[in-house]
Amino acid sequence: MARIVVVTSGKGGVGKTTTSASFSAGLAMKGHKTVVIDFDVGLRNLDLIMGCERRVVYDFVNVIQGEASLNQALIRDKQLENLFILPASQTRDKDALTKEGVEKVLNDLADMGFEYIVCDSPAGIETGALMASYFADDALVVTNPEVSSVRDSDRILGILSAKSRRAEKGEEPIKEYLLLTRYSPKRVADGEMLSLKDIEDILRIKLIGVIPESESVLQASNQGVPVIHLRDTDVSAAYHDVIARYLGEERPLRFTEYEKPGLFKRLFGGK
Amino acid sequence: MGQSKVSNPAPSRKTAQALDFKSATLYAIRVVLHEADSGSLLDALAQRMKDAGAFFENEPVVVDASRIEEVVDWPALVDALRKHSLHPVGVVAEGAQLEAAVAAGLPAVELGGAPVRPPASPTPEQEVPPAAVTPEKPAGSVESSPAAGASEAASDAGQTKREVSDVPAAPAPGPAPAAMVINRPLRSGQRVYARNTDLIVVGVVSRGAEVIADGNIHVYGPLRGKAMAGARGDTSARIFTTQLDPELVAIAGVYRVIETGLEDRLQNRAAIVRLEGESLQIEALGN
Repeated sequence: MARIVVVTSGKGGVGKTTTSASFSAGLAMKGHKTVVIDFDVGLRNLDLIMGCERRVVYDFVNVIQGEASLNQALIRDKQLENLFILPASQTRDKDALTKEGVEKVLNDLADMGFEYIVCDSPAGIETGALMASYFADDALVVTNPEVSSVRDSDRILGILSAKSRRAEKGEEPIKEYLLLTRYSPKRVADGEMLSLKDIEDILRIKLIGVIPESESVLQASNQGVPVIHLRDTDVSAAYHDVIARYLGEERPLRFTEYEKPGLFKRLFGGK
Repeated sequence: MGQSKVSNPAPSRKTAQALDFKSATLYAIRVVLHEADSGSLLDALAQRMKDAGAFFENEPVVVDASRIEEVVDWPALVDALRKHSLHPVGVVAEGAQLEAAVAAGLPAVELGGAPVRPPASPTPEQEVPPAAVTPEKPAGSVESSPAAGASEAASDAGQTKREVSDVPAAPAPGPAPAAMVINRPLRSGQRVYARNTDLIVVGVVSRGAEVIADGNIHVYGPLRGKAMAGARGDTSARIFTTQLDPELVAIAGVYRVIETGLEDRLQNRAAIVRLEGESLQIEALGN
């Protein structure tokens, strides 16, 4: 059975696409056949982050509208042979996403033997976001440590609990995981950001990981490589932890405590 | 939402009926008009639907024109509502306004229980169904700001779902209906209304969520959103919570906006909110 995972947040710019790319790559690295779908029709980004923008010929909407087959539209990742990308259309209207159409594509992907289907949701609570989360089994709720992001995540959690297929059918609810991104322990210590504890207290869902604020995310995006591939970076290590926890392993949290820079660091700079 | 029950065809029985009449109540959005100008109305509607479109789509709508005198261009408004996938099912209005609306195909409806208040009434009533809302007399130690309530009400008014019923509220004889129990967290933007009964929430009521009951409200978890007990005017209704940190509390329409937190001995404590005369009393429970 394929497991459908939505990566969502409500607010834009918090790291959904970065997370979708690294999460799906991480699952594939663990040997799971994985596909990641860009639901942001009109504003596609995932193909850039995955570094396959030049290979996009057909897209998600083409498949829904029967203009291309799934095999034609799926792009195999350049590094991982069991990772595939289904890009969004840049030109179509978001109304092209219909519940029936999306359901058929998800079923077909499951029939093709995909173990994980990762849905990269657009920001907001419009059609694209509703479609990305409607069929989900699990949800990664990506949140930044600031109030508006936390509020939007709360709102999205409400939608997941009320407007998803699992909710409508009265099945076991979607498993919700909190993923904190762009977490800067120093700014938390300085009182500029909400702390991990504050956010957990407001949202009250299981924390699956904390991704530290880091320049390597931008670096990776610019290179078209999911940041999980950047060895020896905190961000990559944090995403590996997330994958491990998602797959059932217990791992202690990292990158959440602020360590005062030592004398050496203060003298010679470095971040 | 009322659903007609389809009886199985039973031709052998003499009592077989082709249809049944059953009572139904209906949740609907109340669209309150503040002016009659078509241009402004349509623009405002388009903006509101753009902001939160998917949430209201395919919802029944009652247009409340009771606070404007000038007659609205009803066909244009009805047409616009339909274009936005809203389904106008009735109108609240009087006199010529009502006649014009009926001529455009909207039946007159009454909104359950709540008397329509005159235009001069404070805006927060949009927020709190259906009993009349009056700001608490400036007595309590907690900051009470009707203006803040008004602006919040305005920003949220589009999301107000209202129960439309042809049955006026009457003290029901016999046993009271069982309390409504919600076993999940209520998140920002969600609203629950326990009609004619108590509401029990096991879990958090987040900022931006609303819990409303005609009876008492119990929240076993942090109450961080808005809580309105005695929504139809029961002044003996109370709000109980294990952790009080609300945006607004109201009983029988008397409300208090808590903008900057409660005093230390109440903030985040288990507490009861009740109405004494015209003012809300908040008491810590236990310790």
